Amino acid sequence: MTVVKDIFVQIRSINGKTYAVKHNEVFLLDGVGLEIWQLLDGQNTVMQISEKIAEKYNKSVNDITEDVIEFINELLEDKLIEIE
Amino acid sequence: MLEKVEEIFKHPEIILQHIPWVDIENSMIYIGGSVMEGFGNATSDIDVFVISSDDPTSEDINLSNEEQRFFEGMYSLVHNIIHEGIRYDFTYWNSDKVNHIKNSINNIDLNTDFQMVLNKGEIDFLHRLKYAKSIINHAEFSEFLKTINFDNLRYYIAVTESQAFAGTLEDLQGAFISKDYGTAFFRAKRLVEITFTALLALHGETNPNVKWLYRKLQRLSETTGDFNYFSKFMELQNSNFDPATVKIYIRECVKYCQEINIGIQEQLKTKQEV
Repeated sequence: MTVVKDIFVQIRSINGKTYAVKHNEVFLLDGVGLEIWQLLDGQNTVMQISEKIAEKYNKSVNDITEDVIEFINELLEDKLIEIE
Repeated sequence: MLEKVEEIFKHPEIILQHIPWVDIENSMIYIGGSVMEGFGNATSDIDVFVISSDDPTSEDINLSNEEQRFFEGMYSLVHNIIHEGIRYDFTYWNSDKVNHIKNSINNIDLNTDFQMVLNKGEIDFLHRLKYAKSIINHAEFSEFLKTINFDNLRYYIAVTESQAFAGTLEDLQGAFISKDYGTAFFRAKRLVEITFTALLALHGETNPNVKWLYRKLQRLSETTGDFNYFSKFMELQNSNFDPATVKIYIRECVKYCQEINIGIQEQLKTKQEV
């Protein structure tokens, strides 16, 4: 499964925090959240995203896949991304 | 043109003879603008800036017999003359106003979605100072430049362009959803300009005049040896409106600008965290 960003969602940094902004709605992204956001390019599958994040933070894929999926589901619910 | 400017630095009286009403000892007089920045061409004028505590009046300037124009510019007083075929633009800034601009940029709060505290003319004034060279009172002018945080100018432009990015993206989205692809097409081109203006500002290219966007990008590419941005900019700007492909073009523009914008926002965040 691959997911892509809604191209109209803008990333903004305000007061040292990063937000995804869609219309008048604002969603806070933490550091890992922004990294996952950047990997949602229609090329990486959810598993590949998990692998890249796991590698970067020196964790096992099994440990973080659930969190990645949960985060992606939140983005889907908020309609910030869509399944391709 | 550069030869003429060099001559001015050797012989400041070339300039000073045109402004007898200026208190030379208590003023800073310098050359700035495109010629100094390296963007000048055969028809460029020479921009002379005068910072003093006393503003000249139209009566002062009418003492001169040369062909000239005097008017109150949007942000400052401007006086033009043509001498030996070269146009000189004299711009007068009051010391108090200059101190206000300096304090504004030095104390800018980059942490929030701020109200703009500098107008376009003031940003242009600060940018031109970066490339300025004094023709008199060199030590004083050099000390003055050291008191300005030009680094903040880079970030200020990036933040203001980010705000413009948000507004343009919203317009673009509205047009796109409404299938007004003509409007969306031109908004997409504007989004590319805004994105590159912010990107270039963070790389130190702070000239706010959109006419120099190409030259700024060219200079950045030549300095870094990386022509990827340049190639993509040219590719996106060279696209013509085609109803058959316009949606693809718009999506490509937005996606590319969004990717660049993430990098811009990460740099701003780092600065905000300091």
